[in-house]
Amino acid sequence: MINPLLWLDLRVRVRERRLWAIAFFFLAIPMLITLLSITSSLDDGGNNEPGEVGTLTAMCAIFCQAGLLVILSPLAAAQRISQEREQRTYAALVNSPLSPATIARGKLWGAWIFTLWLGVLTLPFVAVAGLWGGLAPWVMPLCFVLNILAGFTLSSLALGLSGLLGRSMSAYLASGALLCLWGMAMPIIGMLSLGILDNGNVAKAETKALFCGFLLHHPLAPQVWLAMRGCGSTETFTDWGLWVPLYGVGIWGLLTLLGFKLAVRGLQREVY
Amino acid sequence: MGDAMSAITGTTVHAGEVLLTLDRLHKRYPNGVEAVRSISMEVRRGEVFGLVGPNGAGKSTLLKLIAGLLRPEQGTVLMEGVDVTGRPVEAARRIGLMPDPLGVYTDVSCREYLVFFARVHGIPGDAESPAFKRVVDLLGLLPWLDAEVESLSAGWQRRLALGRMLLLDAPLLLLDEPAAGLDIQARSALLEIVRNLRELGRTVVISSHILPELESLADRFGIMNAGQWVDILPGQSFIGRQALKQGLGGCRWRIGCEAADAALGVLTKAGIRAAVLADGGIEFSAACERLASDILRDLLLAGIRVNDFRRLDTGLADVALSVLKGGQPV
Repeated sequence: MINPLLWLDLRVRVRERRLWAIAFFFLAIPMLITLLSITSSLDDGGNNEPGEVGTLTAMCAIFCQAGLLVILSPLAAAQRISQEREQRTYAALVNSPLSPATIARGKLWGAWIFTLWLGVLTLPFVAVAGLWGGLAPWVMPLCFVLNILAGFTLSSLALGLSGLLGRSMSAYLASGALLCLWGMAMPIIGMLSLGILDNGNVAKAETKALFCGFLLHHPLAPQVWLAMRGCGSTETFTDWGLWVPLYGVGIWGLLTLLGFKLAVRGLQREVY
Repeated sequence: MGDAMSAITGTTVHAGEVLLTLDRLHKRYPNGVEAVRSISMEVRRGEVFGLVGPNGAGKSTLLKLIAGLLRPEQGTVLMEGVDVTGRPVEAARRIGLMPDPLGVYTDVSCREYLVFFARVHGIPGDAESPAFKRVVDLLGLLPWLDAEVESLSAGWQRRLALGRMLLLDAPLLLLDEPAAGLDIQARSALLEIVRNLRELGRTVVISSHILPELESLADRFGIMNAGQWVDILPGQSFIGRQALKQGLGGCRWRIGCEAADAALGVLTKAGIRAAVLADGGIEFSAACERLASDILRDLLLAGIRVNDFRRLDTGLADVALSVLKGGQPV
């Protein structure tokens, strides 16, 4: 039998008007960016090969999708448990035979389905970009999968914060702070550190450590690696092998588990 | 309604068997407030137990402790012999809690609300299932099934919450201020449902500030203050409904007369403690009706014109107020 919380979540979300408004804006952004990238490529004196246009468009579509999923997924997940406390339905939910893990699983599935739905919505734009060619055919589906996985990871972390903090506003703020730290602050610090070193020798141990520490843990690092690899880039970063995306996804897996555990821990707390 | 109730309360009732045992429960909140202090009690199967006490007495905390939503520092909660202390999942199989304040899901119809909780409790979540239909019939929810829960009045929302608990068919129901915020009609309808549950042997622990209604509903009462039971009679924390009706400190009487001072003198001479009320009337307690009639005779013989002489009923509110003030029951 489907998890009762997922069942309720699906029924409620389908009727939620805000959700469709979010979807509209979500679609409008990649559509605009895809159109702009195609137009700019075509306007470039007509000298661009279709493959170049395709590569640029696909990159824009993939990273636009990734950015939106990475931002919207945790925001949508951040109120899933705290809202139960705020609308006072939490006591009735806990006074049930559902274990905290089952409740957290239901909530997590709801958040993941939302992420998947957003991802699928943007598929047509990614597919249009693919029609131009340029990128290796396996890049687009793999990047899509990675984008979805990144969204899942951040949803899980936001759900954990929602369970732990108990207030939607706190959970939103904490999720936003986490996103800024992970998605923006870490690479900025990494780039600055690399800039300070400025020795241009990526083979040096400390440079490598900085790069791995600050940039390879970024939620979009595996996609960057994949896209660069797919368009035939010969940067050092792409030569590091398949372990780069696998390592990134492995970290995401651990973070997903951490988020889930935090959510369960939050649900085990007393109901005042 | 009776048939529907019988079907819902399907559990076999063994009247008198101890269902719930609380042993020296103690709960201190993180802010240092001791909400419940060494509370012990037993609730028997088929009994309705009334929890009385002022705001902040610890009634809601006690109900949450029983339901496992709070973990006590000390003490145990045994439900049907099973230790459910601080274990909400284990407790939920046997105990249904209607909390106060009652929260509702937004964007959900009554049908979805009930089906959701049926699924939560592992009952086939079909709106056509017999259990679902019986609960809907019992609570009169049929016209509201497709209405959004949020749009219902407070009374109907509480009925719906009761429906959630009846679907579960738990042996023990905990109702925290079920009639709070309801108008007279809704309150009466809700209490009628609870009364039916009592008649059919359901065990209910109910906390309420509406004491006259609680008085007519509960079999036994316990009065809480500052997290503890208050002794209603010396060394006795609980009182039965019948004992309450018969008057705890003897029957109370009221005399209306013009010469209050003279009447007070007659009463004092007879060894009766009496009080003059603000309206000039006199109130006193007499252990039996015979003594009261003797006093009336003495008053008349003393030439006092008595224009009112009647027995006053002792209510739960009188008893609660009196013992909370630290005195003996009126």
